[in-house]
Amino acid sequence: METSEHHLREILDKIKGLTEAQLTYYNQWAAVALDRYHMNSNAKYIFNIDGNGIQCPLSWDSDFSKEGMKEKTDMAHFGGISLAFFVMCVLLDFSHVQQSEIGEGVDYRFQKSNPNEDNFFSNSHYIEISGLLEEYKTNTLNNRIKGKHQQIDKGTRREEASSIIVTLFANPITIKEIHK
Amino acid sequence: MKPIELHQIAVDNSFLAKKARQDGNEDEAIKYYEIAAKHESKAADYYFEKYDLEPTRSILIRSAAFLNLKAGYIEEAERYIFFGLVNIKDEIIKSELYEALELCIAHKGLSKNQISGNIEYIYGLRRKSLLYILEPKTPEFGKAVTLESITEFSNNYTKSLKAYSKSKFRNYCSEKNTEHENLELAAEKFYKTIQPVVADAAFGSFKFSIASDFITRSGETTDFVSLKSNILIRYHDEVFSKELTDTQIGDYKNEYSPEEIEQIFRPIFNIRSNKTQYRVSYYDRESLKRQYISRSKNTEKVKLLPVREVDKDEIGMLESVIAHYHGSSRKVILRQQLRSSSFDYPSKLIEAKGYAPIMLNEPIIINIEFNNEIGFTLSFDDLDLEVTSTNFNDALAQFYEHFVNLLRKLNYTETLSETEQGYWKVITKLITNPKAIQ
Repeated sequence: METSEHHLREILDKIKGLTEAQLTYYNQWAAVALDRYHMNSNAKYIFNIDGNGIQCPLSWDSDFSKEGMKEKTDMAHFGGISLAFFVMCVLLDFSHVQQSEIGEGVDYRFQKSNPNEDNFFSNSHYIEISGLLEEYKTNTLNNRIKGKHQQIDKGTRREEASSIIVTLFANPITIKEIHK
Repeated sequence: MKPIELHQIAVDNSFLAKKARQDGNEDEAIKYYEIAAKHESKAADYYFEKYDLEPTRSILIRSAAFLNLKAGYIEEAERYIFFGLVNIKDEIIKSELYEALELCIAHKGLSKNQISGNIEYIYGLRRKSLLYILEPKTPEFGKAVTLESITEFSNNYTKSLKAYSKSKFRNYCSEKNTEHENLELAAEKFYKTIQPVVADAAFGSFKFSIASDFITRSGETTDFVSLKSNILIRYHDEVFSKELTDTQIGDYKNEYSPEEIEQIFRPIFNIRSNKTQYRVSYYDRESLKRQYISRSKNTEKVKLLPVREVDKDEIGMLESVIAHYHGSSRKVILRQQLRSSSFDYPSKLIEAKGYAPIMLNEPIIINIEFNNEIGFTLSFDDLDLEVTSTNFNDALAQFYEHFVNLLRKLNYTETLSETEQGYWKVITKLITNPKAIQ
């Protein structure tokens, strides 16, 4: 199914809980990753949301300094966060994101309505995010999705409402699968 | 200020701290982490006794512990860790708090700046690390593995990894058309910079993760840093964990010179040998499943490794000199008072005293270790044969005798054990009609 055109910067207006600087930072990493494979800052993008495929033209801003943005792991990681935010907030209408600090990064949980002021992590949807620049040997989109499901299954988050969002920048495609 | 507002300030500053560190502004990074830690601590304190406000209570206590750690406030971090370990029920959060506690213990006594920088570095290493497990072949000391086994694994692994790195550096220079007055010297220098770092370790078998340095050091380009920081994972994926199928062996022979094959793969065969007192496994980074490194077979060795042969005269000389050979060039490159040496003895004929010679379908490579204290040790992993003697010919005669004795024993045994069935499989490949030998 083909839908109307989107721009990655739409997330700036849709998300509450992150600063504009933060969202721009993730978007820029996504742009660097997408620019490796797609010309003129746009591409026919496939979003597979819980089994439903959507194809839409997606644009992004590439007019910024890319000096110091060469590490592939960061492109896949931060770029993956940007596309996951896009799916949750632009395509699925989640409006609030809550973050918390963990060992090597940040946990993200989404809510559709204003959070409960005291218990602001309650009734949130936990997201496990991953990004791949391109598939290589066993490092495939399917394996990555499988691995993320297993990762949630192993922990106590298996009881929470959760999803996996994995992006493959070369295609480009972002898949969201509900874990629970 | 409400806890939700305090928390918002904390996460915004944590983001700024990460960005500052990425941009190389270390002082800024610590300043932002300090602000983040102070605000998250205030928010978390509000929830200490609010048992009904889960999951926010547990998540904020964990977040406060990590932000304090990243700001270099060890004692503050410990306060949230200890409280969390006693009062939080979520198993994932508890395991993350244990990890934070381990880092607190490791960094105690260091300055605030050292702690903050180190924590980020350790996490960076862990993200790029490979988790290996060494366990004893037979549980002589429970599941504990000996220091000797760890040393043996580590020596062989490092030797092989470094040889692989050297080869990849040569490729890198030719792809980039980088001019080096002396490529071999430059490759040698790169070889020395590759030092896998232990990023984590735990007892219960011996579990440890290792990673390559990823920091851009003075004068290093982005491409060079990418080569050095990914070398360990590439080595693991392309070489160390690979099954040695015929196609794979063919690919290796096309990719590497015989000298490189000797240096990269000989140590791997040592690790995979039946003789080692340990078994190696690792966690696959994609499937997150534990995989065992398979034992090597004689056929793989014969097909891949260049034979390090020595002739009879040289065997005689071994008692006074040590000789190293490169590939099959048979060039003596070093002579010194003999301590130890290792070479191969290919044999297509088994000549045991009192028996007709047995012609094998394919040669076996007998591994020979010379040690000036005990003499020659001849071994053949596939059949777990090993003999030692101070005289080479005596050792060889004993080896053949053991070979025939094993063959006869298998012929006489009605029900073979699992290990014996493995031996029989090897023997039927080597000898057309083994039943005829009584």
